[in-house]
Amino acid sequence: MLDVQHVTQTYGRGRKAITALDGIDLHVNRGEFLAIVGPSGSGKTSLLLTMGGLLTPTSGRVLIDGASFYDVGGPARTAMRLKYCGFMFQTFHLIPYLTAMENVQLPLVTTGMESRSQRELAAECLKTVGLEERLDQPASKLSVGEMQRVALARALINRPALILADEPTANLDEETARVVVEYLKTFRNEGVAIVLVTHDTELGNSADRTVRLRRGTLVANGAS
Amino acid sequence: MRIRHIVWKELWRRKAATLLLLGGLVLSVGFIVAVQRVQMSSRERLSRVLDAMGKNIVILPESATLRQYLAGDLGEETFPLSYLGIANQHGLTGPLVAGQFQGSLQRKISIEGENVVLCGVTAQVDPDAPRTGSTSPTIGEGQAELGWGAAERLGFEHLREKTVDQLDVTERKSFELPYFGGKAKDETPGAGAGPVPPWKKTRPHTGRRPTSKPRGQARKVRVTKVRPATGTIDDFKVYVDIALARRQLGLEDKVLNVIQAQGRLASEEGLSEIVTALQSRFQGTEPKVRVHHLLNIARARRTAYGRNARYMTLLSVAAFILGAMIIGGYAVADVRGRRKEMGILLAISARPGHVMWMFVQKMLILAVLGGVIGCWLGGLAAERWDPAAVAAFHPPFWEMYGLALVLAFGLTLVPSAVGVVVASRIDPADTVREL
Repeated sequence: MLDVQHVTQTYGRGRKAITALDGIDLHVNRGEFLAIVGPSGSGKTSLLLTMGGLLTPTSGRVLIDGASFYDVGGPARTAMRLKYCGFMFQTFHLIPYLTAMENVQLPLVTTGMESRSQRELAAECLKTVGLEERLDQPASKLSVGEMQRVALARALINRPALILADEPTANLDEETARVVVEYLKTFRNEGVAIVLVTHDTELGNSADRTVRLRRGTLVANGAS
Repeated sequence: MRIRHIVWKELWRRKAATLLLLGGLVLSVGFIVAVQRVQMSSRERLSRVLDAMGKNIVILPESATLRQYLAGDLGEETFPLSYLGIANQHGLTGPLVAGQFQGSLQRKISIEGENVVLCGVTAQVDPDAPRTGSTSPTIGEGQAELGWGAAERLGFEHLREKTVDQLDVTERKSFELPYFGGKAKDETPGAGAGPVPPWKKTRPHTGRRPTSKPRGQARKVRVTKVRPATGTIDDFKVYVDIALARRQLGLEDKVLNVIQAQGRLASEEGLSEIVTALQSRFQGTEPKVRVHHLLNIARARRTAYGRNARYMTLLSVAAFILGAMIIGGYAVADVRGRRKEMGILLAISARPGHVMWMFVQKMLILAVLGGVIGCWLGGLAAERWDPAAVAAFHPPFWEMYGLALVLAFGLTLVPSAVGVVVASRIDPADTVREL
């Protein structure tokens, strides 16, 4: 469902240019759990953001269900992102003064959906990740594990076909990390494609397929 | 959930910053509103002072000061300021015929030791009554109109039941009260006192008396009696409006012109003609007329008002600029401080326009709150600042609050434009990478 075709990402110009991604070709199927593993600075986040329509590649294409992310304008790209993608980040990126439920509703704020429907969906997603008792808790009052689960619920609310997770367990303890990964696998089983970026090889091995990235180049592309 | 929900939550969460910003906005708006309120009230009070001067030119001896006239510092006499405006009290509009000016009342006043008789006209008690001699008001009725007991003071109370036309010569003598040399002129025809004064003569073809003014009578200014169907400038003194003074202050709407009511244009040229005619009438004779006192007063007051107004305006502008700088700085700092928040919104669902609208909404909310509170406080401050001026004039509710809201919008939306543009240019890819 996601096709990365010869994507190159270069930062800067001339002698100071840095190639973060160099001719990446990658395909992700629906319902597949793909892990992108590599050391710091290998281009994992750049690849993830490029796949999610947030970082325009210097060259190459990114197709999602056959539609190119970067051949359309900003508003259309935002709409595609909202339709197909859910994001999780290392530092959760929750809005601290909003409650758990309000954070989960964020992807729907600009859709025009009725507030009541938004709340119902958000409650359902939070229930899915086991946070039904934290609906009205301000995000700043949640534990680290709860925050990441709220972030996961937020990634799910718009029923994406693809979840892009950038080091989602980096700030979590082992047990909490395991719980989060289990949740991701559950959604994978429901047909959601998961792309997880991590520097943790062991975590990468828990995915269906692992690709290794080194200095912007794929060095391995095989099943875990 | 809507974007405005996020805005309100953010304002509520950062109470201290919100209150600080709101406080600054309230102070700026309140100060400017207070200044404007005092200025408007001062202007209105000035306009009322000019109104109180009367709608007419006062003709005084040259040595007299208008201050005395206005202050009523006239020895024993209390000079009613409404005296000369009496014609307007009946709301006379449209063309007036001279017959509406029925009779004349004179009033002795003393200005700087000089005796002056000011003459005025009264309108009919009922301006819509038919114009016949039989319905002309009696002296008592005319005096009652004026309401200042002139008849008693001037000693013609016994004439109350008569109209002016019904006065015989002797009665007219006591009525007109000549003060020249302290002796009354004997106007009885055939009394040997000399030729019959012109105004006593009857014109053969009209049956009416000529109305030329007595000359050589020092310090006497009179309104010549008029007859029905006559009404030219030569027949009676016209109390003309101070249109010139009003125009100089831009208060044209305050003009109510007797000349205008008589169907003449209240133009500056027309006014000049009338003034010239009056001046030429008395040139070389007494009394000399002085018709520009009110203009001088108006100019002096305008200068003082203008100086004050400039100072106030400068203060207002300074307050506005200072407020705008503070709010502009806050807006930029706010955007920078919420970069991550904006970034994640842009990453997951929002377009740059949504983010911009979020900041604009925030500023709008603060503007409305700051404008309303600032206007209210500004009004209170104005009352403390200049209670007399503020009490004299209450501008329309919508005018003051409209001004306050315009100021508040100007103080918030314009300076925060930079912040809004910065917000729209946030790169979500950069912000989501940040740890």
